Amino acid sequence: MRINQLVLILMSLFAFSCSPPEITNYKETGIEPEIYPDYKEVTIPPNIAPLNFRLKNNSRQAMLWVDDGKQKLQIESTDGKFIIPPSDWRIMIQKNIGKSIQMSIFMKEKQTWEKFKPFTIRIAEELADPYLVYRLIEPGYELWEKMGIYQTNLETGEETAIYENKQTNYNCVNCHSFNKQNPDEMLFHMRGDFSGTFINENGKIEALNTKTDSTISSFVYPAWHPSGKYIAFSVNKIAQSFYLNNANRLEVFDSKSDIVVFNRVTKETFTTDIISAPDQLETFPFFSNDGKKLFFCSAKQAPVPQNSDSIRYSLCSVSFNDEHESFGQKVDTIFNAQVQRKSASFPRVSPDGNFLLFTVSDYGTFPIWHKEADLKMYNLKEKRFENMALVNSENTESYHSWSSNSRWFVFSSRRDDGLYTRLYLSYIGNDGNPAKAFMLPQKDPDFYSSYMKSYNIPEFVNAKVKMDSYLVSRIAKSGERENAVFASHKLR
Amino acid sequence: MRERRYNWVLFLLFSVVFFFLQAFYSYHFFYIEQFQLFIYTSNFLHQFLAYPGGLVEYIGLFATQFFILPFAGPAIIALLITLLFFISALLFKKQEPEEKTNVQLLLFPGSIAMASLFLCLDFNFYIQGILAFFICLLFLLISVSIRNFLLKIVVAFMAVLLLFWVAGSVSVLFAAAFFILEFHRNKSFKKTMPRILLLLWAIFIFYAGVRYGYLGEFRMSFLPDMYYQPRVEPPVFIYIPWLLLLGFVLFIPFLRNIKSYGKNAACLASIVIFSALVIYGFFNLHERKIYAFQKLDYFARNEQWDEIIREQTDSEYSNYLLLSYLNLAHSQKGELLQNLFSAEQHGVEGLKVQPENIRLVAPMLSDINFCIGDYASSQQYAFEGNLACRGAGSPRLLKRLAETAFVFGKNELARKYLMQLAKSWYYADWAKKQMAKLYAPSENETNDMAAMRRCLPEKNSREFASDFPDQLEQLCRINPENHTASNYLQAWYLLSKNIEGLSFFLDSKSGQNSERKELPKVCQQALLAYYETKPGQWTDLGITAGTIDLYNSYKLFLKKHRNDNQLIDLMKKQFGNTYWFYLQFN
Repeated sequence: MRINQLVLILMSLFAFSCSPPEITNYKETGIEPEIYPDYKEVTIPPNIAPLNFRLKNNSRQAMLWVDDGKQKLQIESTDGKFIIPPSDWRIMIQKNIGKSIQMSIFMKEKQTWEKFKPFTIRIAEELADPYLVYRLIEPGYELWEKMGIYQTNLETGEETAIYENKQTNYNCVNCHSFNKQNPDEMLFHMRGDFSGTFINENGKIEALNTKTDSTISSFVYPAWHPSGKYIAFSVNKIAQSFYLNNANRLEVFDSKSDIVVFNRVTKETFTTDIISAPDQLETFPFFSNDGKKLFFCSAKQAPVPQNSDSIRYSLCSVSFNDEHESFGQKVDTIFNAQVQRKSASFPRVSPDGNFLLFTVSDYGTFPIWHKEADLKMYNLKEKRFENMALVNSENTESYHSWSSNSRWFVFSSRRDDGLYTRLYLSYIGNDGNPAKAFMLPQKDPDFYSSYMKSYNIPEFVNAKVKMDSYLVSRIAKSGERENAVFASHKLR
Repeated sequence: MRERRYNWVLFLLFSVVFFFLQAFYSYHFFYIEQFQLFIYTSNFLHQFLAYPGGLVEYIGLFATQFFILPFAGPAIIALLITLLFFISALLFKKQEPEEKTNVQLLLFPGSIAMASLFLCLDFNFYIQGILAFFICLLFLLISVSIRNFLLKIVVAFMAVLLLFWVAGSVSVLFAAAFFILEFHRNKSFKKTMPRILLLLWAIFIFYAGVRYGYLGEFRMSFLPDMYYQPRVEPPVFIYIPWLLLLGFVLFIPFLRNIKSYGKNAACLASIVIFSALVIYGFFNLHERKIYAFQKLDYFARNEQWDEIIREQTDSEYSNYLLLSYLNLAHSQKGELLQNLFSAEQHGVEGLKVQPENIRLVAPMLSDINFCIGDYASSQQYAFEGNLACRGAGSPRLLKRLAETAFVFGKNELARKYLMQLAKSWYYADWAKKQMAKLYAPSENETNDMAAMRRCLPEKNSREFASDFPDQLEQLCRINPENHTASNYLQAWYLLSKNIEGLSFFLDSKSGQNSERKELPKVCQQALLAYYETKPGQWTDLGITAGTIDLYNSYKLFLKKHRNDNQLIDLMKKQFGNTYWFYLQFN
């Protein structure tokens, strides 16, 4: 009994000594706080790690109240950074699902506390998929050093490697892709040493040599058919040139490109004139959720680089019959590049089939280097474009993917400094309008400012990816590949 | 008395190594410092704690940051080598406490120290390898000093694990050396089994390290390859210190049992090994070959253009790397054309080397492009060069990235690079000053920036960067006042022997230079050679009487010595700095 009492007293003392003193006397400034990352008035999933942030241009003593009206968390800061304890954050968030919490910041100015205008954070009812997969690489031009495919647990912020190129002589790994958001069906390419396409299906690794005499290149941009039996790929002849003085540092363009569909069972690759027309450039395939439609981007071929600014890609779709491995004859144009004077890329249909999210830029096929590139969302049911003002910025928004429940999407943006891509998440409200996008939180709010790698190809997955990277590296080094075969007899 | 003598040996070793490095390799240390920035942040430390060998890499980077200071690089390496000698001598002494083998006790550690010293001169070898080796020897000494067998084994098992995480692949070396030393001491099965288990433990740890993705490849896990630039095939020499350690621990106990004749033989063998190492080291160090380049790199980085030009008089610049720096130095002083043939030129690649070994030439290409006003290409090479660097990047290239971002008006990006430098020890002040300038530039800085921006095409132009000579033509077209690009272009025409192109360019708007009183001598010489049959045009072309006289002398001299076997040497001596000589004999 005595011991229990002693423990209780000690715990109380400890708790007391750790809690910052309550601020009772302060002056309201009415000024909006400038914080980084900007988490003001955002909507977040209930399964996200603490939104740690810092005051911009300020490193004085400060205090943050996270308040839901009933309970208040007090976070003290001596350097302008607010690091919210994960356990407290989790409890606070779980208690307020579907509601908002208020964030109030106080700053000590000559012995008196000044309170900034509070802001709110809304906690949505819908979870986001718990893992984000992306590639980390310096936003280089032609060279690379260390790179890899990584995953972050959205709930804890913990990052782990899925595959790092140090296992295969620092080669290039790219274009990771999942069948829907399933972590057990994943593919990615290796370039340079040990090149090939590697498919992980429930731990079984399949290695492919995807270059055939009848296709322009090895497989490039992938899109899974929901059955898992087919994967559509673009095949591209890609080049790049550097601008002397342009907001876009460089231009990546295709001098040729087609789309092919790969049958994983027969290893046959087939296509049709509609997606492989000789005078057209077709790229960025994506299957609809029922697998009956193939979305893609298409533009008329023109000499590059001199005419690359005249190449604009329309967003089209064509029906696909997986039983007969055939395509329809009619092409639907969802986004007409000639009419809109814009170029479309990366079409992604939400898992519920309601929205088609894609990137638009002034021209070309590689919006990643286009400052003006923005996300555009087409409501497939209502047949209208949604307002994306709270998502886009003055800088590049490019690659994106959906969470399984279609209520969240993640995208990459260069809005921070114009070069290094960071991940942003946005919520789709019941009205179909996306909420203000917010940056993937990190334990240290200063993390991004000194981090010299870009986040590429963010993909939501509904559980942790458990691919055996060692096995992949052994297979890659063994050189054993199954050859993709071009099925010319199936050319329809 | 013996102790004092031994201290003198250590002092002597430190002094000799220090003076050797300072005299012959000081610029090597300045050079390698530029490729591994150390910054003082917790995130930076955490990233090194996350993988095997990371901590010793962190310490290595920490030590390397001081190489920027004069004498610091040689002093740090000399200290490390002396410590290595000291600790290995202690280890061998522990195995052979008798005084009879004094010579070996100096020569064996001496060989290890010598081999390690030569490793430090290889640009691709990281000093963390020496640190790791030292820690391994220290652990070995501690482990074998423990008398209680059980405690010794427990410590060894823990040491393997600790070494694996702290220092990397030396953990395997530790296990192997420990096994051999202990086996010599007691060969009973009962005591050998735990030692075998220790070896298996070390192998298992490293296998697990690779198996679970902490380490890349087995080569990197078990061998000193871990301490070598991973994209480069390491030379055999990097294995020598490890092999010496294993060889010596294997053979030293036999010295106890051999008679005096054998001892003399062992002594002779150790002298031979030591001498062989010295000779091999001196004659096979490829780094010595690029030392001249490292020296020029230092001068270029510090804008000591006169030093580069002075170096040229001391040694012939026979390769494109050195010539590129020399031509850059002349250009920076505004005398490229005047001094183009002050050194023997070997074609257009001497103006700007091909970006084949980008890791080596990226800083230089960034400098040249910056000098001629192609800030996009300068930025590109700075970026790509920075990728190949360790730690937080290359301070020099980060500076360049900040500068070019500023030229393009991307202040946030410039700030990011400056912030990185601001977290370092040596570059913090510079970075902070630059950050202040970002937001409040002085009038001079604003003017400088305006001058640089005049070299750019109009904002959001769709002009793509290209390579020589198109790049230079483009830059001259964009800004006809860009005399640096104009001079480089003229030099390019001259070195490519395209006098027609030169003539055409000189007639163009970009080729005119209102500040110039007369056409540069080398251009006059080129035009004279080209229009030799049209003397009526010479004056209009800007060819002066002095050039005509010199040409007549050239022709006379050539005629006189036409049949001389030494013609080229004679011509070179007399007219080596003229364009005619280059045109005719190169």
